[in-house]
Amino acid sequence: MKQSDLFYLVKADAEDQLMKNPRILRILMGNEYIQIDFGYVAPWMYNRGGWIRIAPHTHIQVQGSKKKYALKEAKNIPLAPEQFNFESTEDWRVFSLLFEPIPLKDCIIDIIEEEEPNSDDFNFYNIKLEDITHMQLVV
Amino acid sequence: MVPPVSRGFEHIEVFYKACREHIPTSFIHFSYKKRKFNHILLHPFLIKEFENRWYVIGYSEQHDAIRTFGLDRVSDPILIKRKYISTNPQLINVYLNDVFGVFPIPDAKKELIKIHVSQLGTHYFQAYPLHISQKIEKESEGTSFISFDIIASVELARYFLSQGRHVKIIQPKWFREFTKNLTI
Repeated sequence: MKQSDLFYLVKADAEDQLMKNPRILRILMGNEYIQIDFGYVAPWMYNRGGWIRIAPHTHIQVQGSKKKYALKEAKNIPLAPEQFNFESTEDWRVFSLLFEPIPLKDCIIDIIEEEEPNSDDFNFYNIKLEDITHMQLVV
Repeated sequence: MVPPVSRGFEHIEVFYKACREHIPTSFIHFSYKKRKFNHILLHPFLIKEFENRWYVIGYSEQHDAIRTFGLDRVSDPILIKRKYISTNPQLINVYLNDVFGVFPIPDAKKELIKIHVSQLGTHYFQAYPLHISQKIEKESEGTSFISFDIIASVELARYFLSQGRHVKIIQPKWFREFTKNLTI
C-alpha cells in the first residue's frame, strides 16, 4: 500500500482500553487508509495460548454515521477462516488492521468484527479520536 | 558460519537514521516481564550492543525520562516529523562510558564499586577487564580487591552473581543488597 505524505498519529490509551486483549496501541490516520495497531497476549485460559484471526468483513463505523469503512489489509494476523496458532500462553503478537480512510477530524469510532459478537470477537466501541496531534511521518 | 538472525535486528537502520538525523520515533514495545504493551514516542540518541543484544536509548515522552529498549521487543518503528528533544551530550557520554551494560539501576550515581575476588577469578579479571576504570589490588596469595568507578547496572549485578563464590561485593552496601535480592 502506498503511503501518502500526510499522516497523523493518534494515541489510543483510553482508560477503557487498558484491560482489553487485544489492546489498541497506535492509530495512524491518512488520506489513503487508517491503520490500527494492536497488541495481543496469548491468554492462559486457552490450551497453548489458543489462536487468532480476523474476519474479512471487519469494519469501522464513525458514530453518528451509518457508513462502514471496510478492512483493506491485515498485517501479522490471518483473515478467517485461516488462523494463527500460538505455541504457549507466554506468546504475544503485534498486528495491524488497515481500513478505508475515515474523515480526518475528531470523532468517535467503533471497530466491528461481528455485529452480534461473542466474547471472542474483536469488537471495540467508543474509541475517541480526539486531540489528534498533527504528526507527519517521515516516509 | 552465518549466525542466526536475532529478532529486532531489522530495526537497526531505522534507529540509526533516527539517532543520526535526530528524528523522534514511534514504536510499540512489549515488556517480557510485565507482559504488557506500550506505545512509545522516543527521541533516540544511541544504539548500543551488549552481549550480542541490541538496544536503543533515548528520551521517552511517555516516561519523561531516558529509557533503554531492547530491539527484540520493539515492533513497527516509524519516524515522525516532530521537534526532536535533545539529550545533554554529557548524559550521552555517561551511557557510553560509565555504564556496564544497558540498564543502569534507577537513581544510581557513578561511584566506587569494590569486590573481593578469588585466585581463579582474579586471573579472568586480569585477562578480560570488565571496564576501563578497573583497578586490581592483588593480595599475596593471589586473591584480589578489584574496584570500578562506574554506575551500577543490572548487568553488573548479574555478572557478579554469575561468578558465584569467586566474587564478593564489598562496597557499596546498597549494591550488595541489590545484587543479593536480584532474581536473574
